[in-house]
Amino acid sequence: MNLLEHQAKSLLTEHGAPVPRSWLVRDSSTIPDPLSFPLVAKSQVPVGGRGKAGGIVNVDTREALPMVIDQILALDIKGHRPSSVLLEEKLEGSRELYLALRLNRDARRIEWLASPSGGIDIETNASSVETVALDDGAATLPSILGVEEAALSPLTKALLETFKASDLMLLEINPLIELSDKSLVCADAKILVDDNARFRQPTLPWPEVSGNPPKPLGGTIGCIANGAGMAMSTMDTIVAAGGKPANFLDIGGGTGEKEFMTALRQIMELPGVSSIIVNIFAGISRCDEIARGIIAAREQLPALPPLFIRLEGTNRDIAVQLLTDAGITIEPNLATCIQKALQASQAAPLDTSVEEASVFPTGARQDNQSISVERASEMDGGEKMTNTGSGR
Amino acid sequence: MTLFDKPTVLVQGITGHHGAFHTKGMVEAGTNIVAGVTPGKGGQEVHGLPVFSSVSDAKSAFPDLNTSVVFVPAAFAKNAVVEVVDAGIEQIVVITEGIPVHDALFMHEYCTSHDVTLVGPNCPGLIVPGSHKLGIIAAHITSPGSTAIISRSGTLTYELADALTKKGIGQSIILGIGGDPVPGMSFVDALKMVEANTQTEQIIMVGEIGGTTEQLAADYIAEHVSKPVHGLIVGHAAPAGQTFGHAGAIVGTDSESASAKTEYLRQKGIQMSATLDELISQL
Repeated sequence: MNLLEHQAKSLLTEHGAPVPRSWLVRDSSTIPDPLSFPLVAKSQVPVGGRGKAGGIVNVDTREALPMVIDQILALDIKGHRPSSVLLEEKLEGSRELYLALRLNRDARRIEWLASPSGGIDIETNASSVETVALDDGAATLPSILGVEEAALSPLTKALLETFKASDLMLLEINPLIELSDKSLVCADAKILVDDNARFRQPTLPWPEVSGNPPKPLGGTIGCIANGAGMAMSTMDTIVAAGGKPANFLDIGGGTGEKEFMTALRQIMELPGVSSIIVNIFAGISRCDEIARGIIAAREQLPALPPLFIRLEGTNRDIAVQLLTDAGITIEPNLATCIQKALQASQAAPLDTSVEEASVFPTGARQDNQSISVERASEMDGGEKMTNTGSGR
Repeated sequence: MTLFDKPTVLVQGITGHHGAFHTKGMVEAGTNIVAGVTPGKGGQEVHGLPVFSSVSDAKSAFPDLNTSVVFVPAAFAKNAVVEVVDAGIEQIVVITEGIPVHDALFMHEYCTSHDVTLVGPNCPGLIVPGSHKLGIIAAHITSPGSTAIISRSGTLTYELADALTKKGIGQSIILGIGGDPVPGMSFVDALKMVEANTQTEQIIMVGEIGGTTEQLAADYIAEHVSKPVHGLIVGHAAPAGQTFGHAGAIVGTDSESASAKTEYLRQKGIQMSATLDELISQL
């Protein structure tokens, strides 16, 4: 889960990391009093590129503020409409720095990333970002950033505490501002929380659990497979054959009739779907259970597009018998399914508008306000992660 | 010992639904399971196997215990691993999914510092066909032989094992290292093991988007692996920034994409296929 800026800053404040004074507003009619000007009004959307899109505005007077708030609230940024605006005191800092903590999956460790040239230019200064092991932080970070150890040490302590206590995978401060009195303030913060930690982080602003909906990809061929690897492999095989997958969906093992029906219904709701491929390899799950789901769906979903089914593994014979009795044919392999799906999709025009709208916000990669740690650290194998499901 | 050697096995979480079901499957596949552990349920039996309340009790009763398969819920997995390491057991396979990555990191560090082999979490485990299985891979689609399958995905290992078995190509080991961002056993660790195994003659490696562990594996193969390696990376059709089912399957940087990985591995001399069907047809 990506936190909004104000949520990230609340978390930092809990652990004693300094952030600018701020006020969160949800509409222009309830502006708090007192405010100090000049201030910065910032759109609270979970994506990067806010500044470029007009979501970050300097405000010098109280009179100008209501209009700015209305403008920001009405501004859609990469498919996200903010529900709040963060008003923040404008910091007059002497220098903008970059400091982040991340979980490096390939090195299997938590590490610091630091650069003396933070702010919106970090992307062009990617080579200035240094990777520092946790144990070396106290010794080397002050000299990398060019700041006083006395100012940095309580900040790094607070950041590390936040990172560990809240199960974070990424905590990025950009820019970190050094004020004229040499003190440090976190002017922007990007936080990525480990979704697997939800059970022990009850106070964080988790979204409502929405099950396991198909991930839209904008093509014409719907896909249902069991296992994340199988589902990705199915998508790849469709693309290699010249088709366009409409979605990614791993229905997992042991899927019953009800789950199967829900999956089909959700895929049917995607625009432009002209057929659906069902690609199942039953190891521990059973083909006959899937077959029963298919038969029930045929009966209960009259608008169901053509299904092209490939079933292998446990109880395949029973499944084939059940399907044959119900007048449903089964394809010998995935290639045949795809061939038939391609023929079916030639009739239907492709809707490409879905693709962009569906892309989950990665935020930092396109962000000019808070540069991506992944981009900045690409050279040393940086990564970006969220998580949802099973590796089985 | 290595994962190829016939182990003496403990099942943690044996009284749970999954633990009990897969214990039966492991026993049927020839695995020597001698005991189970579930806190507070010492004295019970599951499939005729004695259940203990702690790993140390089980280890006292069965001093030969050297391997544990973990089915306990995510919230308790870290403590389960600590308990088994502290009892002096050498190998752990964690099937449990949904474990917080900070816990996975701790488990990896704890096992490494105690010289314990950790497979998983969030994995199907492994099977050495004809000898033993540690986890949930269906034994009936496998057959003994000399091809090793190493994969981040569970179902793709099943698919490959089944296709190989039907073509008459047996397997020396089928190992799912798991779909989480921080696995215990990495591709490199697994490659080291199968390279040293005299039974194994060729290796199939199935990777996916996210991270750069496949590139690290390719570097290792180029330097240290003499056996032929066939590779497949899935997720070519996955756009950047979205997670695809596995916690670790997300393209953040360009180098984490399927095409970048495929190209890198090809340059290191690995026989790469674009799709699963292509890989199967080449074997």
